[in-house]
Amino acid sequence: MTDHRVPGSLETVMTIAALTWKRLARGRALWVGVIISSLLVPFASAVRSSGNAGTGEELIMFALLTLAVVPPMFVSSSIGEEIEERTTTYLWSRPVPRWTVLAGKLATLVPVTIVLAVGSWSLAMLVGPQRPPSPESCLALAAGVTAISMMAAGIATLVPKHGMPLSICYMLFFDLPIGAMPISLSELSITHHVYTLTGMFRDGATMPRSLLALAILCAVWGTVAIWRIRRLEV
Amino acid sequence: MTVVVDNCSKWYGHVLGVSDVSWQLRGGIVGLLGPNGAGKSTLIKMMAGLLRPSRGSLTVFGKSPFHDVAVRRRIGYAPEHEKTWDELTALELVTVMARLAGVAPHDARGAAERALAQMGMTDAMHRRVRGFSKGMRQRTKLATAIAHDPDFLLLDEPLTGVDPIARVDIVERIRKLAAAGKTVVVSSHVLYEIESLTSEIVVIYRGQVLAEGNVYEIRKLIDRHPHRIRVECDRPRDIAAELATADHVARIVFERGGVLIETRDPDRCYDALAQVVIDRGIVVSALSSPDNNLGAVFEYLTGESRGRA
Repeated sequence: MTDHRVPGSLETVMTIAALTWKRLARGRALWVGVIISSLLVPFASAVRSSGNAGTGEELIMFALLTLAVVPPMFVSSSIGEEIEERTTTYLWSRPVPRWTVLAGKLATLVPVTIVLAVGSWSLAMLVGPQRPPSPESCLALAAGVTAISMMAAGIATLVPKHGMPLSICYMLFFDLPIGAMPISLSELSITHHVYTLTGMFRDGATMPRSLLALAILCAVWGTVAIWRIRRLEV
Repeated sequence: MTVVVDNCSKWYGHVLGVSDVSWQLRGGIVGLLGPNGAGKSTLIKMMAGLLRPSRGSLTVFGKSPFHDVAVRRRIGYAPEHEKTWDELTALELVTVMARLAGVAPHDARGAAERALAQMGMTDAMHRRVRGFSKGMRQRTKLATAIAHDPDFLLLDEPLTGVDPIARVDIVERIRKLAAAGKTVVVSSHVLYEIESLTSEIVVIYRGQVLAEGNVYEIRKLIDRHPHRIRVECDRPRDIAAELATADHVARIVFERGGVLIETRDPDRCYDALAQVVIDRGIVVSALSSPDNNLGAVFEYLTGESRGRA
């Protein structure tokens, strides 16, 4: 062997992203994600037929519920199964930094989840309140998907075997409840900040703060995931 | 030196993986032999950069494979587990692995095709891995290990679950890789699998290297273990009667259709045996030495270890 070329980080991330997409597209998880996300549309229709389609608050609450499920389903299961089933041995025995594996997976899974979340939200707004969604609300959902995905990645690296259920439980039993509380603890809630960022129901002045909070939460969970993945031995 | 293991230990919490192993590997095919849980896979994973030693050091081509990303470019690793990405075709899987190992994107598919062809998988390379038999999975794993043309191959139990015909074929292909200049480490808990590949072995038991080197050299180390000769013949009692009084014969055991002689001096015993056969006109149907088989060496070494423990 003469050429001992080591692949660049960007090249590796792109390769892992393509691999992740291929596996996602050929598996069942994508279709389950599509179904769960699209539940928002019949819900919007039901709300409208009940004569209460004005503000869209019910819709955003329902959208946050789907966000509690879909990103963990994609991200936690993808990372957790990889570690648990030891297919990571193929990846980590290659001349690539471990963080690139994480980045490659997120590079596919986050955009796919954003498309599902924003797409179903847009459709639901058209079906329910019968107006297009605001750019702020779409950006809020995209930011929320990103932050929840980072959280799901962190939990999956900490507890690979039960990454998906634990991430969903975290969202349903910690993040959503504390986000609804009128106390400072709600600052730790991703859904609280997504709700604020939509700009639909709260003072717009708090939006930059919520954006910063989401960025910090992303950074914390991302650090946890990278720290853990660098130390993992399989 | 391809691999240098220096006083290397690995614990999983309180569970011992390998204990204070020192070992050097220059080249060729080396068999890691030991029962399940002996520490073979731990040692291989440390060489592949998947685990880091808890104590001591392990280098491959002078670098730590756990910390040095670049040195892993020169390593090809086929894990023991069967699980791969079943949604992919064999060609897609091997192509991705080649790309991640540093093969340029425009060359990766060609490299994958060549690797799969080397493993006899050309006809099945467009099929998804999900439907593969164990033998086909093993071949595909081996193709992922060789696609980037590494200098050093780590094959963890590559023959497990493979049918006898496929086994012969895979053994031949691994031999060809070694003949092409690769250093190959193959692990197995099945003695004849290793024996069919190489006579250079490292015997591991309870996380420790019990013996290493050529199987015959190892045999010499076992000076308290008498050499055994099995004779299958029509009149085993005649042979026993003639050799029973010889001072080099330690024990004679009658077996079905023959006799097993344990001797402290194989050369003298073979001479005496030949003389008896000629003098008495005994018809010998088979003559074998179980001690030339790895099985006898392994049983003896692990038995010794258990005795000491």
